[in-house]
Amino acid sequence: MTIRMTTTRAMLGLFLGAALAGGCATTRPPTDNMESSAASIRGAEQAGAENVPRAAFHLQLANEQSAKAKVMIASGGEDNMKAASRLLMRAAADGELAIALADDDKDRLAAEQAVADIHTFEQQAK
Amino acid sequence: MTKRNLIVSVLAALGLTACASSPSRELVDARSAYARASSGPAARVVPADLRKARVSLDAAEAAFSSDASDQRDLAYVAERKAQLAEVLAKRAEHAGARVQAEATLASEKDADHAQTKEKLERTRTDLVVAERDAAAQKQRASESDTRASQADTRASQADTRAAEADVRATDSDRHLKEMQLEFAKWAAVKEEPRGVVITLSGSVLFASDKATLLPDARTRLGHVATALLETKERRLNVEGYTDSQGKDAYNVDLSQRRADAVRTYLVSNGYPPDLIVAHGAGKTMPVADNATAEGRANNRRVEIIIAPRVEASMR
Repeated sequence: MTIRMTTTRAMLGLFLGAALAGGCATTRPPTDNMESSAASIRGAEQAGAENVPRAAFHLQLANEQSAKAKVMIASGGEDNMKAASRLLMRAAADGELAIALADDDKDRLAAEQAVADIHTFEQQAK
Repeated sequence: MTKRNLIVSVLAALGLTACASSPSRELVDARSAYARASSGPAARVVPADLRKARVSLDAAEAAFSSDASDQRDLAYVAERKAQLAEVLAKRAEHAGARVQAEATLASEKDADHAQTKEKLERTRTDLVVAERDAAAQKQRASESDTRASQADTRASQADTRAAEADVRATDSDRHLKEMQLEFAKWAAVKEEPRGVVITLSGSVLFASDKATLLPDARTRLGHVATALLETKERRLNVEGYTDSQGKDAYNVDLSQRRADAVRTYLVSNGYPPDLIVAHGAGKTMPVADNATAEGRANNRRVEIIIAPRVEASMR
């Protein structure tokens, strides 16, 4: 388990604790969406999304939406929880897209390298 | 309701209807994204992911129809799902291109390897052929050297034989000279084109009408034989002659028997028989006048002709 994952889980616990402490016993935090968004953001970071412009853009969106959701969860209230859930759903979608874009960039580079290898070999073979 | 209130109510109703029927920007984007994805390679390459996008879009459309509060969020997610399907399709294409390029590279490497191997085999074959040719050339050179050596040896042997022949010829010539000096006392020795001719008087060798050598003649012929043995490589012609008196047939027979007697004596003293020919010539080829007693005495003779050296060396 990485430090980042540990930190994410600790923050989730903190938000959940804050929400419950808010006295809204009937509104529950969107745990599933929180975990899925956190996982996709983590996956995008591990895939190197920061280094791929389009992937970095979607990772940034995911982070911003996740951050807003956390604020809303911390504020408590049914409306806030619902809005946070929807934001986290968006964040998860952006995170997954960021992962795919980062992986695709690696595949693209690998394909280009393979073609370059052919040219290099053909040059050496002449 | 006043006229003014009616107008406001109608406008409000129209406005609500317009709001309810106008899709959000997110939904418009989602529809566009899905249309783009479904018309591209995603439908073929990642149909499952495209289906997920369709499901998301349907959910967004349903939310829009029911005017649900989360319709914009669902549309947002649907757009991302459609974009994700597109990216996954591209990723699959990139992966396929990489695999194909790697396969091409491997194939080219294999072909190059095979070509290199073939060249190597050709080079090896050429090397073997070259080595074989070199060995054959070396063998031929060796054989040529051997033949040259043998030719040299033969030439050397020929030189040796020629030198020996020269020595023998010199010795033979020397003996002839010695014979000439030795025999000059009782025989005539002269050089003629047919060879060295030793002329022995018939009266010295034989009694009258006889073909048996006189004892004194044997002694003298013994010296001749000894001298001739030194030159025994040469062919000898022993020719008997008579004077003109008497019948020709008799004279021929007598001269033949006398020539034979001399030949037999020389052979008995060791001269090779195959090198001596005896011939009775009768009264032919007189060397003096048969009209006088002295002339007839000179005509009665035996000639030993020693063939020239060249002729002898050709036997």
